[in-house]
Amino acid sequence: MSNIFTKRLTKELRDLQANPPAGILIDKADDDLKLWRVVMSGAEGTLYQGEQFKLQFKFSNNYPLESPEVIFLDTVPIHPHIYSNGHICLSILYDQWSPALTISSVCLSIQSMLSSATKKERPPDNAMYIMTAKKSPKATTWAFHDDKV
Amino acid sequence: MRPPPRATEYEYVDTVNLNLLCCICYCPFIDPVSSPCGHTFCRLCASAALSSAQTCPVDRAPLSLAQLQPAARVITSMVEELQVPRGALEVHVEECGHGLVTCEVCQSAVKNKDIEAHATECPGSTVTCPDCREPILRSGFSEHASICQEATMSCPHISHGCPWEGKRRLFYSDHKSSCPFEAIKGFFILNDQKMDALTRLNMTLKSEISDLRTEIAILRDAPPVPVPAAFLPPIVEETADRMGQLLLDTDLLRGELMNINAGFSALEMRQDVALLNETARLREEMHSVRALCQAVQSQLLNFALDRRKETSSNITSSVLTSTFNALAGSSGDSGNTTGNASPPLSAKKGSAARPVVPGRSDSSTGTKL
Ligand SMILES: [Zn+2]
Ligand SMILES: [Zn+2]
Ligand SMILES: [Zn+2]
Ligand SMILES: [Zn+2]
Ligand SMILES: [Zn+2]
Repeated sequence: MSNIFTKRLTKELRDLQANPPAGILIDKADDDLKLWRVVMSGAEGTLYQGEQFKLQFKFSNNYPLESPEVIFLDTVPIHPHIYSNGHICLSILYDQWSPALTISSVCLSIQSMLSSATKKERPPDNAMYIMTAKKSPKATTWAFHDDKV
Repeated sequence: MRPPPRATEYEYVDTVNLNLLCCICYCPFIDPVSSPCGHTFCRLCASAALSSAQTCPVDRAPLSLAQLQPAARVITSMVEELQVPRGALEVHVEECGHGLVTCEVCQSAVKNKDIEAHATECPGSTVTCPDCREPILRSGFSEHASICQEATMSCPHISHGCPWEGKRRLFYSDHKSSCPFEAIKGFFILNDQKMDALTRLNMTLKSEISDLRTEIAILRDAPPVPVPAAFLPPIVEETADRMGQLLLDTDLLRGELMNINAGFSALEMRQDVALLNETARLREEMHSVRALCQAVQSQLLNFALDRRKETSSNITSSVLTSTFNALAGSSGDSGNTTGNASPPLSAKKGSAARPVVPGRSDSSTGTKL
């Protein structure tokens, strides 16, 4: 399994460094490829235009069969699906994960989630959630908001 | 000519058609399989993915291992085309770092890429001794270092305190004869032997002590040996029960025996009294009978004397006979006989007048038995 893990992440890293998607930049990846930092810029013409956010990807040895743990670090964007502790309510990161998804496709999903926001606000249950949540969002049982927002 | 590599992964020439990449491992397909929904994966990747979720990784359609079919022939041949072209293969085999070459010095097989590193460790190559400058076979170098005359050595008595250090050659020519420790070498040997023996003894004793300690600890912690109480009580209790029963029985018997004894003595006493009464009565009766006899005798005598005076002797005999008859009848009807026959006697002996019949026990003095 760790054979797939290394081959696959090495390829992904090489691809992302060779042709990074717009607004996505690999900040750094550990030597053992288990921890990545990605800088994401708010897309032009959206509420987050001109802002920059840091995403952290944590991979288990079972990647890509198992989803990576993805959270925002430091400055967490104010968004109805993003909690102030950096946890992101996005189904493909949890039970809708598929091994065919990549770091690049996850980044693009998050970016489009940001772009579709019409109002900068925290999820209504933010205060309650950050009090009870574990460190990893993968420990949370997510009830997903509708995908339109 | 080598057979073409048949490993589970291939080395590929640079860029690969993206359609020939497995979406799970991002490598060109190895042993590709296709799903009914039209997606292709490496066989190993697909079975790994399906073991965690039974859906197609691409479109999430329900998918099981059994539904996977070997990929279309065209895909397989396109993947095979990605391999290194034949002509280049031969060139590659010569350059390939993983190919094996034979070391000309030691004749062992070494990987192509390791041949330079091997030169510095080949046991068949020679090295120059840094001390004596002689070329020495690498395999024998460590042996040489221990005998090289030019090598620096310490005096063997360094452990006893000799600070001497110098070339081996000088040790044998100079120092060995002058070393103060060498002179008392025998003492050191003996001393070391003694020390060794003592150390060993000490170790043995220490281990014995620790064994004993653990044994003591075990004994201290162990629960007390249980008394096999379960076996004894029934017997003891039974015996005790029986003993108690026997004691009770004995008491009961003793009481009965005493009752019987008391009964016997009462009976004896009563019989004694009865016997006494009877005897007394019989004695009285005997007295009265005797008195009666005397009275009759005297009357008879008087009669006889009177008769002799008046009549003949034959009459006397008949009177006598009748008298005796009367006497005999008194035993059955004594009251009448005595009363009629001897009125004078009743006055003389009052006590005899009372009717006494032997064998009848209705007299007032009799003790009831
Ligand atoms: Zn599919
Ligand atoms: Zn694969
Ligand atoms: Zn060699
Ligand atoms: Zn030497
Ligand atoms: Zn010495």
